[in-house]
Amino acid sequence: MIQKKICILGAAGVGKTSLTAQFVYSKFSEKYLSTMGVKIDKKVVKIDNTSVNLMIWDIHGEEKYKKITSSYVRGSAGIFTVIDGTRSETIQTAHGILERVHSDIGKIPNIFLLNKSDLSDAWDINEQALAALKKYGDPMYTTSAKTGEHVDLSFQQLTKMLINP
Amino acid sequence: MSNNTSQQHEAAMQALRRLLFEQETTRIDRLEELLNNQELHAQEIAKILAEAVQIRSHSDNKLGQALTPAVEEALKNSIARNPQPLSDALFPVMGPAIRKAIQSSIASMLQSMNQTLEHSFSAQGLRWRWDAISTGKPFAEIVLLNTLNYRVEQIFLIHKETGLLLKHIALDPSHYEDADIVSSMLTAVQDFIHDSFSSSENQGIESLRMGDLQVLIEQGPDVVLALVCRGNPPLSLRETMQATIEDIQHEFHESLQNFDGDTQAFEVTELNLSPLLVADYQAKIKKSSPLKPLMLLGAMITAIIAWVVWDYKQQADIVAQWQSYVQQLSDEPGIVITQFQQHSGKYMITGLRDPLSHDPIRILEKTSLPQAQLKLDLQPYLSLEPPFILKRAAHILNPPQSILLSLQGEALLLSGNAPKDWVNKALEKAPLIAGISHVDTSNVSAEPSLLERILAVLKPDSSIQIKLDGDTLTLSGESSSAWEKQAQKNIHSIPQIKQYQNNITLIDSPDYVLKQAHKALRPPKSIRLRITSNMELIAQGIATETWIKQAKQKVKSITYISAYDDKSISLPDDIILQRAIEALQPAETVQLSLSNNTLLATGEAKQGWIDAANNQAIQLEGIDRFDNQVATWIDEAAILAAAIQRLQPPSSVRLSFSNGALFAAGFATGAWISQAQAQFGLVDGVHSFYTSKLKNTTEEWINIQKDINSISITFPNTIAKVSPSIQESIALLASLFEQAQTIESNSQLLTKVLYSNTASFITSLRLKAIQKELTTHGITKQKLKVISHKADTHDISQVIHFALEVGSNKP
Ligand SMILES: Nc1nc2c(ncn2[C@@H]2O[C@H](COP(=O)(O)OP(=O)(O)OP(=O)(O)O)[C@@H](O)[C@H]2O)c(=O)[nH]1
Ligand SMILES: [Mg+2]
Repeated sequence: MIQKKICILGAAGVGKTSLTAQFVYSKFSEKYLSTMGVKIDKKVVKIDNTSVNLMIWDIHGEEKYKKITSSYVRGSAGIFTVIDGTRSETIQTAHGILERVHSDIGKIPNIFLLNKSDLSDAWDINEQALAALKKYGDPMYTTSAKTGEHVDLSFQQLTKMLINP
Repeated sequence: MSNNTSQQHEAAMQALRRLLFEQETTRIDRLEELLNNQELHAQEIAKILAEAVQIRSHSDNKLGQALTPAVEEALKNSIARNPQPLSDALFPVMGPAIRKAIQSSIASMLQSMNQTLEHSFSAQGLRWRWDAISTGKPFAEIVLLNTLNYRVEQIFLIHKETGLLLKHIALDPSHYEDADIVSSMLTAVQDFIHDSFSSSENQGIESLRMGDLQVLIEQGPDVVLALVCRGNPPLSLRETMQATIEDIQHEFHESLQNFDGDTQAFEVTELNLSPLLVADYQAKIKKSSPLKPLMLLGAMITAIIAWVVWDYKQQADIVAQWQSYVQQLSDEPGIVITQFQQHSGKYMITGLRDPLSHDPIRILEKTSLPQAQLKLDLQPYLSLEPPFILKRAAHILNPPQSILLSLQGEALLLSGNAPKDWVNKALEKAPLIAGISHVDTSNVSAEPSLLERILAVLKPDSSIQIKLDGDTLTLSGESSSAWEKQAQKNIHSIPQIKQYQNNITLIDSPDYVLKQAHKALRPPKSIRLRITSNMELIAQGIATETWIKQAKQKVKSITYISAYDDKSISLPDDIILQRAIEALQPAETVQLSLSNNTLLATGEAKQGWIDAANNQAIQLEGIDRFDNQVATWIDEAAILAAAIQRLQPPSSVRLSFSNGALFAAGFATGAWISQAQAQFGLVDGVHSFYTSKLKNTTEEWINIQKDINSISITFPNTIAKVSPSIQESIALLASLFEQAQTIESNSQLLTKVLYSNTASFITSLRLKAIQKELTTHGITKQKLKVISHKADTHDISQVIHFALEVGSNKP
């Protein structure tokens, strides 16, 4: 079976762990337990007739004094960059992370996830700042780790991008 | 004298010089002394030495280099003379370093001492001491090695960059499903440590300990090898791990370079890795009593003696058994034994063997002799004993049961019945068999092959495939049911066929024909095809005309169909509707719709269209009923025009039409009114005629009216003066008014005055002028009534109507 390592990156609290939990265990919790270092999960994704064993590295959130180091991302075939739809400043963090990954490792397949779509009341996203992400040419999905909206689809899509590059 | 004089001369010169250069001479003498006296020299240098050294060592290190040999020499000399001062000087530095080194070696020594002491006097200790002597290693090391108890439980081969698991081996594989996660986690932990302690790139963690478990980690350029051990693995295990990594790096170089997540290529690393799955189960040694070694020794000696005796007897027995086995082989037809040897615990049997003879290993299995001790070297050969020749012939020719084989000299006799094919083959093959020179088939009666017989009986045509497998006959392909039935009956006449499988498709069965019909006609979903037992094809449902037409044609190409019935097919609603629209040509105000073959029309239309549609609609195909709810549409203007045309009203009469009623207003003669009342019924669409607003008058009155209406009193621009032409008009108006009084006694006459430009003041002046003029003709103010002001065009002119009341003039 083919194995692929992928990383989930983004600012702290955007829902990286929740997205992984939704995808792997179909579970969601309102409780916020900040990830320390890395948590690794796996799930087999079937694309057409190919089964891919995804090793999902859920990495701690990027914070001012706790930047994500590229050594975790090295060797991964693709990444998710997660943005919190209720906090516009997490777009800036996404920029910072991607620039670092690009300069340390190079360009690898990426999908932006605009998470927490279920919180439409608290939605606060600066459309202009969002549009600035277009320059990377990577696809973007709106997701909710809570309702599961587009979560499976996003992982499927990234896996497709890894096996048909 | 001369000498004397010169001496005197010299002295005089001296005296003179002294007088002249007294001071300079002393100075020169001092300089001379300075130059020649070393002692003074050194004193001078000493004054500036420190500064000189400082300046020089700032600019380069030549001074240091120059001094090194001297300093070394000096140190040597110093130590040779007396080491005390130097060692005193160095002690504060050396002391702690030496202490540290000594401490650590003492610690390790103590550890090995403990174990050494513990084991020195045990039985095992004796053996280890022997090992130490024979291997040349120190006794303590042997003890250490031997007391280690450990077991490798899992091996992870990890791709260094991605952390992906290339291969996992475990003592008990069923337990470790999540090896791939562990592999990733080990890599993540490495990354974490790297980041947290920012150690150098090539330095990784070498081991992790969790309670009883220890993970040993060794790194290669592309792979990481991790061993999960229980207990204390020996140091040598690490060397083995490194060697394994080197092997894997070397062997799988290509696959590692091109690794993209597919671990298939690394399956075979199992061969490299499994030797690492070692275990050391040696029991822990308890303290032994001093008596134990002696008892052990006694027991050992007894055992050895017993064993020697038993072994000897055993050996003798075994040899005898082997000999009997060799004898058995020699007696076996087709086997020739040439040699039997016993060599270092193995028994070698050499000879020849016909491949058709009994298997020597089978024969051995019947004895209790171990196969492992046998080394059999039997060269193949062909035995020419008659039974072997016959066996060989039977093996090669594979004759049917009805054939008997026998041998006469070198000739093979065949007798009995056999298929021709087989006989021909036997004639070809037999002479090639060792021991046979020719074949005699004179006693064989050839019989036709089974297949030939089947073909003869069934007479199949080319659409039938026949397969014969032993006694099983399979028929497949296509045939009519008549042929199939006949075939089934005929097959019973061939007794060799025990089983008959029928895969024939009957091309005249209703099912098959229906399928063919579907294939040929390709009916749309809305059509259902059905076939009756007498092969009538019936189509029902909805289809387009083109399909219906094509189906009618295509159906002819289907064999076995007796008739085709498409009467129950109807056209789709939209086509019927389209046709209806084309045929009926409804106006835009009419809506047509179709459901359940009923055409529904709503909206408005002329009566003529409604009537025509009623006639036409039900004649259209697909329409059974016409529900005409269209309301008649009335063109009022046309009706009015028709009414005017017919009734010819005079200009004093205004006709209007609404909701089927014709209204007349104005003045008309009694004759016209009665004529109109008689004729209005002839106008289409007019149901009633209202004349209440019509005044019945005489011809003259009407003429007066006309005349009055034709008078228009026009004032020029802003002047409110009555000009002669206006006076004329007013006079005419007055005379007409007089006449009117005689004809119509109680009425009003309406006339209009036209002004140009109108300030209301001027207007009233003008009106007064008219009134004044009229009074001169006897028409009083009372008989005049201004009806209305009305602006014609808002810039220049205005019209005023005023009425002259006729009746009031009458006394
Ligand atoms: N309503 C809603 N809440 C979410 C969603 N995703 C995450 N959360 C909540 O957001 C909080 C943070 O979620 P985590 O998944 O722990 O975030 P994280 O990105 O892993 O955080 P770090 O590990 O600290 O970087 C939790 O309270 C989650 O319940 C979502 O889609 N909808
Ligand atoms: Mg997290």
